[in-house]
Amino acid sequence: MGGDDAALVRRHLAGDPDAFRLLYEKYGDKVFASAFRIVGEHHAAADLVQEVFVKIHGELRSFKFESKFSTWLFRVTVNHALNRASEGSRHTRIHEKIVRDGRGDPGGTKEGRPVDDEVQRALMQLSPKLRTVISLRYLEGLSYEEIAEILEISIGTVKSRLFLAHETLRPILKDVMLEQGP
Amino acid sequence: MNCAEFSDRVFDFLQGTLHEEREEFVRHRSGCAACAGRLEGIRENEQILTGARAPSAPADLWPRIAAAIAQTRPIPFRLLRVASGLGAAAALLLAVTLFATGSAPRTPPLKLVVQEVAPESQRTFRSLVPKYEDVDAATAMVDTILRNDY
Repeated sequence: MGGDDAALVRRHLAGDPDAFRLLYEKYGDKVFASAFRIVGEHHAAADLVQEVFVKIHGELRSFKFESKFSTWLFRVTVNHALNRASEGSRHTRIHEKIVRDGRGDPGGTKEGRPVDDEVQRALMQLSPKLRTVISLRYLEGLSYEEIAEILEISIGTVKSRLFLAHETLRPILKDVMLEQGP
Repeated sequence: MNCAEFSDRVFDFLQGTLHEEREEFVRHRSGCAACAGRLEGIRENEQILTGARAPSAPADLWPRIAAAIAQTRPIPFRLLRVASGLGAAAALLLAVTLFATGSAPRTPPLKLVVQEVAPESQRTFRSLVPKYEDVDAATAMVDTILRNDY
């Protein structure tokens, strides 16, 4: 995967007009999902992903190929999302109230399964940092090592944040499980 | 193993990478209902979280991104701007026309016309031109610069 990405980055730098679009097609959904899990709102996530891809398009020339493109991409995404989450904490609280009141995400989720909304609602009870490790681990399926590299923290810190997140999520997700049945 | 150590190793256990301390971990779990409950809780959480569907990006997101990138393109010659210390406003006004003059066979001199930019930027651009042997090569260089958003 990393090799393919590096080849696409090199093609882009060589002037191939399709290469950057191919990178988006490969990672757009994943980046959007991560952004959505952290900021908790569809339109804000879309705006954020747009900012991220415009930013990396502008900075791709300085990419040093020392780490994987995906690691860099997720790091930029997560940093943007965490900044947005902290800036928009008031907005997030309003959004949470909307969700609690049963009006759901104003942007709507494509899939729209109740369990997905329940999971997102549970995640919004976590701090942005805890949401981030949960998202990267279970929704993106990244290893502890990859998460540590993206967040620039130790593997021990990744695990301790995961543990704390699970402790917080447990009573909330237990209800989800009961509602869904065995 | 105490409860704190159990917590530190719980993800290694779940991932199957706890080897040397596995036996001690399992022994603690058998004797500590609280830790056994935490482990089971994490397992159940993981089951729910990994089963949740991630939302897809909106279909119109790439066109939006492509349009936003295109809007940034009128800032060409970023390299020159950095080199010369000029601001973006000057770069936006840049209009370049290249045409050949002189008769030297191997490296024909090129005359550069740069309009509406500061003399400092003109000098920087002229310094790049002699690297190219003809008008087509120089034009291709300019085209590459424009397309790659220098």
